[in-house]
Amino acid sequence: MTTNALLVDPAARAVLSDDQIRARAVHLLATILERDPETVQQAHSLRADLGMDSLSALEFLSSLSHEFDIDLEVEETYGLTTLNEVVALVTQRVRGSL
Amino acid sequence: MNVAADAPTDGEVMGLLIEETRRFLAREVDPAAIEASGRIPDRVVAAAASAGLFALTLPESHGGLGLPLRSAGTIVAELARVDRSVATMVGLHAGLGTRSLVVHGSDARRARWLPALAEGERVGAFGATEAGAGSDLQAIRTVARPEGSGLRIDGEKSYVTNGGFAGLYTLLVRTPGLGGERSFSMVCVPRETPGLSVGPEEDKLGIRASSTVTVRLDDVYVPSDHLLGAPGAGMDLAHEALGWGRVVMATGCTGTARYALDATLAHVTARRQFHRPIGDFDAVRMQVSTMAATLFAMESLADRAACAAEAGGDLTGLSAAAKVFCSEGAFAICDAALQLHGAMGFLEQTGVARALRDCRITRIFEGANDVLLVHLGAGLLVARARPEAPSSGHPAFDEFERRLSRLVAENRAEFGIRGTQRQLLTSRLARAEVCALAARASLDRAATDPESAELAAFAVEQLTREGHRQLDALRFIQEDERAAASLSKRSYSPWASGRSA
Repeated sequence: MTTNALLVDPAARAVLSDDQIRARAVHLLATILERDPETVQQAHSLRADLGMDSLSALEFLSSLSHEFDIDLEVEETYGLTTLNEVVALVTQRVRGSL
Repeated sequence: MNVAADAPTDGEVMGLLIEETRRFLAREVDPAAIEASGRIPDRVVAAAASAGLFALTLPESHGGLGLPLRSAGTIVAELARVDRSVATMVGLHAGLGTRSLVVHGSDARRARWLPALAEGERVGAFGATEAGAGSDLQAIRTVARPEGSGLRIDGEKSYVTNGGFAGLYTLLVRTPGLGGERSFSMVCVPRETPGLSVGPEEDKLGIRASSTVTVRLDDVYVPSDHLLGAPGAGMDLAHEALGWGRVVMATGCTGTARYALDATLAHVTARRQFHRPIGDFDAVRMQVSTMAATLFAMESLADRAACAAEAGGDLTGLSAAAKVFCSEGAFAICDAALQLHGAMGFLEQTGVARALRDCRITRIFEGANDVLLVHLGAGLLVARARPEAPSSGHPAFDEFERRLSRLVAENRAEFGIRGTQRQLLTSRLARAEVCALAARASLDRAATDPESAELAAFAVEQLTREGHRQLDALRFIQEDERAAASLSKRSYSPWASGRSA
């Protein structure tokens, strides 16, 4: 599930486009939820549309943190309700950590 | 006319009910015989119904006694002192078996089913677990699809307590047609519904007379008003019901532990070795005192959780803590009881062997303790801040609480959201938190009951020491994670490659 190249090579993250970050996030989410990535939409609500509870949401956020080797602080994750918001936060942190 | 003046008070109702429960137990319940028969005899179920034991928490408007959870817990503990299978039947009915219907059922369905449930004509059962979905409820495969004005259900539920004779099954199912592909809902299925079938009774280590079966649903059709709560809200309802059910289970554990402690006190004061009652030896005194203090803390925490359940609000953390603490406490007390009985404890005639067997499952069902601890610890790490507790008047305990709060904050700052996935971290923090909750509940209880001050102080001292031990172990997490990863890789490899050791 983890793309090790990102962990060992920060330069690999530098060249990730927004679309690639989004695609990796969707892939991770689809793996956790055991569903087809094609059925996951950006506007989906984590809870209402994707059926995530607090535990699966924590697993998703933690996996993103690991996947992109970024530190997500607990406070930053309060109030995230849609996949779009999660991807925006991750993109911002990936850019910010370079 | 003042009707209320003639109505019994809640205290009087409870007094009568406790008497009735004890009469029922004395007349009808022979735990050894019931265990040997492997099922709770029909006459015992009927007598429990006559004693009002299926009506405890059900609303008075529908034939129930409308008791608060705390009072219902007192009755379940009374039952568990004598027979854990009977206590499990009643506790499951009062908790998971009926709770969601009481709170979220439609008026018509409540009017239809609750009176029969209160009378014991129908006994409640609950099904969430499946062969491939234990602690991971998201993996549930039983599915209910909208069809016409109802739902078509297919699947199989495992380990359904009361399932062999239940009249109403409350089931957590996937409902992809109601609120999205990953939607779950809670649905009631009466036993007589065509397509519902019940498998043979499972052969178990303990609570051997409690009914545990697999329930199959083949092309089962129910009207849409069998759905409880909003479509798609099933997971929330399940967590709410589990919170309620875990409190009932925690109180049951106090009953089993009370039995084991009483049996031990009788034994250590009567049994003589080296010309003295064995209870006069320091080592025995320490064990018995620890048992009594543990039970005191269990009762205090279970009571706190029951009061919190009545007050409403999120019960997730407190009910999980009470369930973990009381199930582990009961098992430890039963184990110590057996040990102090010596070889006699290993024989069936003393009854402590049965108590030990019977309470083992409580560490597993309604949420395995290991998983609850991991979740509880993750909850601590993502909470906005651990609430600052007022001084307890017990300096060593206050210092422990401050240390716990500090370490939660430090780990949160160091690991961020990733910390929630580190299970050694979350479970150790959670164990310390459980100690803190149990100690705080014990101190608060002692404040209203000066007689118990000495026992409470001993309990708090023991819990504070244990809490520190858990926090001390945080220092070794990285080493432990590495060692466990390496050793397990080595241990698993022959098995993973299909070659046994």
